[in-house]
Amino acid sequence: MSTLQIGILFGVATFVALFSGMPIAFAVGGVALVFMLLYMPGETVGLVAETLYSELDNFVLLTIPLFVLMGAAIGKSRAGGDLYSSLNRWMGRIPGGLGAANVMACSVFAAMCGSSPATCSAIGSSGIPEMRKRGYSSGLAAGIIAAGGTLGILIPPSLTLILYGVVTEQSIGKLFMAGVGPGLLLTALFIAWVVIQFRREQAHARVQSSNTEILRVESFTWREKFETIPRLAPFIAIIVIIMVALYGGWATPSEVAGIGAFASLLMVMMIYGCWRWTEMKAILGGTVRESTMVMMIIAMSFLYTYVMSYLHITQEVATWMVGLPLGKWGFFVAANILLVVLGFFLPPVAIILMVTPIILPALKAHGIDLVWFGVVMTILMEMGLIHPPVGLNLFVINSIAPDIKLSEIIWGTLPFIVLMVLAIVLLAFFPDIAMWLPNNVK
Amino acid sequence: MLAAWRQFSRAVTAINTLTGYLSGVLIVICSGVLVFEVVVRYWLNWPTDWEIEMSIMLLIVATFMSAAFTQASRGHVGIEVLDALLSERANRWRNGLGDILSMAFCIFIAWHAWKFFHEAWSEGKMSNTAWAPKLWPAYLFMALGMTMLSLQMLVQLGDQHIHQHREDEE
Amino acid sequence: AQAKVIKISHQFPGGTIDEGDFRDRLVRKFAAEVEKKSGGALKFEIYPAASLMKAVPQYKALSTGALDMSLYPLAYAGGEFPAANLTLMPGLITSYEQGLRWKDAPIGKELVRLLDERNVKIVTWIWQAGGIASKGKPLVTTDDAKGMKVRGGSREVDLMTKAAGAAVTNVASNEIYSAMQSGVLDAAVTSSTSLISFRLHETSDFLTAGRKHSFWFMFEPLLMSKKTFDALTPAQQKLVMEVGASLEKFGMDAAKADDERVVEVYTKAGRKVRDMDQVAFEKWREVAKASAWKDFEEKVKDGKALFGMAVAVK
Ligand code: NA
Ligand code: NA
Repeated sequence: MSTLQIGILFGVATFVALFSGMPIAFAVGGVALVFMLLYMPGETVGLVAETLYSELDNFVLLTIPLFVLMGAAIGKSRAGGDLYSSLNRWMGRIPGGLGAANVMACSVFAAMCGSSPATCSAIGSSGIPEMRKRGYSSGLAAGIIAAGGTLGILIPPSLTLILYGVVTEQSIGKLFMAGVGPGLLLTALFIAWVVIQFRREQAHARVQSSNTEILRVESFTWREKFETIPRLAPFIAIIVIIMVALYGGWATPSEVAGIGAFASLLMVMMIYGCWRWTEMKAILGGTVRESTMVMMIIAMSFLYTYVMSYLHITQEVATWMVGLPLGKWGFFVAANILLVVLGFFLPPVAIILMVTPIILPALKAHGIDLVWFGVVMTILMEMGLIHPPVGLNLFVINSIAPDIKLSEIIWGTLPFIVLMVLAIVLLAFFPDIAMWLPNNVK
Repeated sequence: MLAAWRQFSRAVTAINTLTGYLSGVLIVICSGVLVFEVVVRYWLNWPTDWEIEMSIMLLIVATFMSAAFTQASRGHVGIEVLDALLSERANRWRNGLGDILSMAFCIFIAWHAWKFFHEAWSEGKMSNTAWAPKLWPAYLFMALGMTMLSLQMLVQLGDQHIHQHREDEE
Repeated sequence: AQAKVIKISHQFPGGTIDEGDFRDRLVRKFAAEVEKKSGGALKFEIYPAASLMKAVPQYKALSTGALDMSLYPLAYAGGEFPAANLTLMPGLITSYEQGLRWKDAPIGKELVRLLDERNVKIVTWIWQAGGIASKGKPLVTTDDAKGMKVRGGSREVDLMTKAAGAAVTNVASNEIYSAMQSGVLDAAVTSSTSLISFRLHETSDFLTAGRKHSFWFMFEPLLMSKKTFDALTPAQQKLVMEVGASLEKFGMDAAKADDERVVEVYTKAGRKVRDMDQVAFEKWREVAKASAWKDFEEKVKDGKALFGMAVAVK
């Protein structure tokens, strides 16, 4: 069989397995294993456990359980509710204010963390229940966190940008700076959408005279607002500690995951008195349930990636695309489509490693700025994290809020994907959104 | 027979619940190790050549040892679009088949993980760092975790079958 | 007959046959040459940047036959094949020429034999020198090392720098950049080529160049699985070994060129460059003898005998 035929079969089998309702991790892993047995030498199958272990043996990846612990400590204790009711006193008057606050919380967290599912989990654990409590539809609440979470790999520090920089020999410092503008642009676009959608949901509730929670306009005096400051202080302290640790040379981006988890746990124990077993049980159980789910999917998708790489499927498709007789923008669009399609199944790191070396000469030949393209590519990778069938952030939300249906999460997230496409179009017409900072800061 | 199965099922779930919470404790310990690392490196200038490696091992062990706990509450997420489209009977068959395939996959991985562990153990394989810990304990927990995950799936399949059988009789 | 496809994997950035990381270029040259001379009977798929598998497990994959070829820092295999640590022993090798003389010396024959037992064949002998990027102050002498947070990148180098009083620290390789930027790390030791590709000239202040003297010489040969090798016809086997050997000069020249290029890159980025002199090198070697060398001789099976053969190569 030709590589193309195997590739098509692989894609079809993956779709069937994923939509059969099997857990994602085992569906992806199972398909990979079957193709290993069919088309790869027996020696590779013999190393299957080793392959899984060696892919997990990566500290940057393993920060996810720590960030999940951080989110769970706050989300599963009274701390989360407290944080959001305080925020609500400040933002309550603005329609969609709490949703906007969540988007902003995601981008602040993204500046401390290089991983998207981790950002999603840390903010979503308390963010989603609190938004729903205040009448946000499940889809909107889920979409805000899923999309906001993706900012983790765009706003520096970003693991994917570091990898891209090494592979393409571009300045990582410039790439980081180039990520800031588009990160802010996406934050602004997301907030705008949240406000629009929130108003629509309010209007809908008025007509239906249902969902009174969303219509409640709370008004707080300045005194009431300032009363919340002592309650916000510990959270601000944690953010400050993490920022200082990260930018002050105490710790690497991965190590701050440990500091964040430790500090959050300490806070809920000391300030919120969560040191009884029943409370700890909720935090620990929630942490492992969610982090294991995510880590299993990541581990198995590495097995999947290995098979796809070994069978040379990705590489041949990329080589074929590079060979198409296209102009600069035709090539750019084709590359975007390729990256989105690969994002259906593959994690960002794998896509960068497999595809970039192949399309790099063509990018250079077409005179495409590689720093700018790195940012576009990162946004495409972000889309891959929130579009089906394998969208890691969607599953993180599904795990944080098991009562929201996956289909609802997907529908709620769809508008944000459109906004990301819009951001790429804006970047194509106004490259300075990304490039102004790296070009002007020395 | 049925009573023996019930006992077995309850025992497996109980063990997996316990290891699930212990895995959570491991993640907490890991965060402590990292705080220790950062503190002694930044303020005391101590060498820190074991902390990251230790953290990696703790987190891998925690991941595999809580897989079964997560399975017990059906926490491994799947795409459930067909649920609404198919009849209840068709869904039952589909989910049963999915469970059997998932279990087969996990048994396969568990089997290979045991071989992986055995090799490292008998050869005394070490990590090639200044700390140089033995690697078999981490591999052991990978094998154990995948085995317990397979058992949890078996138990759930069995329980469901019994439950279904009951309903059909009534 | 259908062409046999051979997969070559490596961890270094990918480029083209004329441009980019020389380790990738060497692999591409090898593939093109063998493909041409075999009349298309042998074809190659090249996987740069660890896009097939992680760096370390490539050795195991070679020895089981799950992978055909790799350009591989042999010391990475030290966990399961401890003798491999000899090939990144600080202070042991002093020049490229000395490294290449291993091939025909008893130590080289012994290494080939040990690898043969493990189903791995050396196709091209490549050595590479390295240097140090540091922040705040230069790291040239053993005295400089005291209290500095240093990433040695391998067991033996860590043992040595630790013995010199450095606070050895273990940062993931994809985080060296950020760690150096924020000051978590004061210094990192690696090959000249990787000092460039990790882009540490953006975040460090000093470079200790290895072009004159370096305690860091690493063996990173092009390897082939014996399973793959045995499946070739005798003529193809001969071809593979010949082309492999013919690239040794390219490897050495390119590695030397990178020892100079790293100086250019760092100078151009405004970093201060220091060369390691004979005196500083000797001191490092003394420290290495008392730490890494001793550790190897005591802990590795036949460690003393292997070391004897290694130091016999002048
Ligand atoms: Na980030
Ligand atoms: Na996706």
